[in-house]
Amino acid sequence: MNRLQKLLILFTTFLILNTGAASAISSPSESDQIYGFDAQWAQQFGGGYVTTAPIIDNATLFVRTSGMWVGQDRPQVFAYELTGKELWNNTNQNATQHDMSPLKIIEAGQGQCGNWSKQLIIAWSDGLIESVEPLTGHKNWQYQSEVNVWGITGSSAQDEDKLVTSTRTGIVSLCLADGTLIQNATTDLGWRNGVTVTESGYLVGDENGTLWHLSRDGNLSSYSLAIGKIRHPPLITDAGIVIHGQGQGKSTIALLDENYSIINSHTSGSSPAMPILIGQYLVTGDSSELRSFDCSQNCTALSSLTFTTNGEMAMGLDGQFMVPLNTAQGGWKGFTLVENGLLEHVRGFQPGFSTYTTAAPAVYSEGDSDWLVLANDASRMVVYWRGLNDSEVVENLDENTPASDENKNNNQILLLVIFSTFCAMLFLARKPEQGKKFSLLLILIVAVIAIPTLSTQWSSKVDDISADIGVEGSTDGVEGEWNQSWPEQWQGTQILIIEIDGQKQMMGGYSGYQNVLQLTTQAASDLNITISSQQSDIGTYITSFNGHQGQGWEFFVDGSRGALSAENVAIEENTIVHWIPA
Amino acid sequence: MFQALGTHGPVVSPTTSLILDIILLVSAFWLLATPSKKNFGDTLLLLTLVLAVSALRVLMQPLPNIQPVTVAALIVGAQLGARRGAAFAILVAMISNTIIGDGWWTIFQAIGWASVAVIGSKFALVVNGELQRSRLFIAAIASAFVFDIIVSFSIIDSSFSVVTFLAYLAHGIPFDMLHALGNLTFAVWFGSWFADVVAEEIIVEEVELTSVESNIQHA
Repeated sequence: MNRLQKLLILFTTFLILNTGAASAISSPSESDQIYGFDAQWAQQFGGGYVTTAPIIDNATLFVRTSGMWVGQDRPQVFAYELTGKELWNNTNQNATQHDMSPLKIIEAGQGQCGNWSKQLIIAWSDGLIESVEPLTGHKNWQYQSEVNVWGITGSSAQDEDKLVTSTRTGIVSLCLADGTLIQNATTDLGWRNGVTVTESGYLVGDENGTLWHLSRDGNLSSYSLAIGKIRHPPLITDAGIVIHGQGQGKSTIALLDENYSIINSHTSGSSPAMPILIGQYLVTGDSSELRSFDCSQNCTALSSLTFTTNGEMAMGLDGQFMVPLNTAQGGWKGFTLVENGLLEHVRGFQPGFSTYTTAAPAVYSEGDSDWLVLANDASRMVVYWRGLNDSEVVENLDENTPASDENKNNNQILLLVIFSTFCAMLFLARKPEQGKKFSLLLILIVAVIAIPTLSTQWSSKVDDISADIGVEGSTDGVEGEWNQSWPEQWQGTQILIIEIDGQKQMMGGYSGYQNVLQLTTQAASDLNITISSQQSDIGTYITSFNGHQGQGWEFFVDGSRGALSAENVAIEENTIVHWIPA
Repeated sequence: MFQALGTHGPVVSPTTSLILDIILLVSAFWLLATPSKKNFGDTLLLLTLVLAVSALRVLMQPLPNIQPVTVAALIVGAQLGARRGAAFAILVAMISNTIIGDGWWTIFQAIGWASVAVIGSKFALVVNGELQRSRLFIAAIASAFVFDIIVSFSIIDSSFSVVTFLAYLAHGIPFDMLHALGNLTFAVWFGSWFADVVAEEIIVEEVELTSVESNIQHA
């Protein structure tokens, strides 16, 4: 074997075993994986928190950390490409408290006070407000607001050519073009009290439960609501202004009229999250429950689910809104509002790194790609991607294709071309024996690469044929048909049964899940059953339930043994999935 | 195929598993020990082959159904005979499965590769010390299907009808084909070399035996 041949074999081994180039940050671990998405890269920010949502703008990810009190670590803001390449970072050595003021992108524009380019607004806990160029981090302007123990913790808002920020001690409005101070009003002290722009001016709450209104001509007025601390930007609904006030051991969801008088209120759990509006519906959360209200007229309570959330909620993908679960279990849950605004739990986003969670996720869609960024109170951030049409995405790699996949595909294509050329050269050089040997190796490599796709398609065909000739493959004891002892409301829905140590644990009433793995993940979560899974080229396999690994697990769909990985077996709306030890 | 399904046949208790392992081990040593006693060096060389091929199997395990053991069993069977070929196959299955995963299926893998070794010994792959490459290639392809079918029996339980089992086998055809292609590639690339390595054992062994017999006669 000559040197060239040895080198080619080395290339071949690399080609077969190559798992893609590592991202610029760090490769996600198995525990980073969540169903339906591919974890692309991860970043562990050290000892602090991520307590406000990352944001994605024009394929650039921005995230801020907080709570760095150890050693020389200080709160930072980072900008990354979605592929993981860090564009810049900005450290504030003077940060004095948790930096949780949401980052804000302002589009380029012009107004009475001048023209401004696109900018990222960073408000710090030392009272500093910075405007930076999103792609470079270069500072446009800055403004130092007043500090009382700490500075800014709430969200800012744009009012035409002005940036309006609730500072620790009041409200400031600044010219977006150069940061010139336009208005500065003093209120009582606030905490995470974002500002809301209304037709008449700006609204902020404070720690005393007072709502402040600053008109554009500078008139400041206050309204004592006595519903506890106001720690979110007031929401403007068709029914009026909504505030979720934080009291002692409880909270109050109050609806105010145009005179800032409470016209309707609901008592709820302690430590409220920041409420959100979804169309005409209001969603609130606290340490006890998640609630929905119809605010088209008077914010009527609609539904509630037991839940613990104290941070941010935000719209996610697939029409769901995502809510961080602020318990040791952590993670995020996706909900939708079904008919008449009723809350419905859709799925969990439960990476293995989950812990207490307060930051909403960031989502971004472009072309056939969806991006999801999750970051938690342990300061771990993972960037996920999914292709809406995988086959097309593979063929049409764009700039948002994950670096690792792109590199892997490029490597494979390049090496296959080299290999094919080499084989052809051997034949041309009249070395047919060598040519045949290398051609055979090439065919094997192509087969190994193609086998996951081929086997999945083949199995689907076999399943179709099996169904046509009536091969059921049922097993004694496997639930394949509706059982009269089950709750009536489960009929016609997706039902999951997991048999652990001979005990059947089951849950039903599900709908909309596309495959066995999706249903299993959700139902197991609802049953408080932990799942371990293993990724392979031909799908994701469940390896244990509640730590019971045994000799593997197999599933039956409507009584028929699953012939593919759980991820690759589609289910209908009235499917019964039964897991038993193999 | 059964790996693709994630199913592995009956669950065996640790005691049963131990008994099965003992049976396999005893079978391997029985096959090595009879009918003609071999010297320690011969056994050591065979064990070296076993360890090397086991390690190769573990290394190749990430690749779906690429099984270098099959061609190795075929050639060892052809060169060393059915008994030692079968012993080789059993030991490789046992040792590699201690890393890859031991269970009910180990028996079927051992039987599968032992059967391949027997095929190798009966298929006249080596004639007058010469490896018959064409025959080796055919045997390598065929033995993939033989092995896969035997291993597939491990999945059968009371829920399987004949038709269900056939459907199960049908699901695995792409992986069977890949196994066959992998075998052919191994045979084309390394068949002659490996056959020579195994043949060298025989030569060394025969030389030693001749030398010993000669010394006895002179004594």
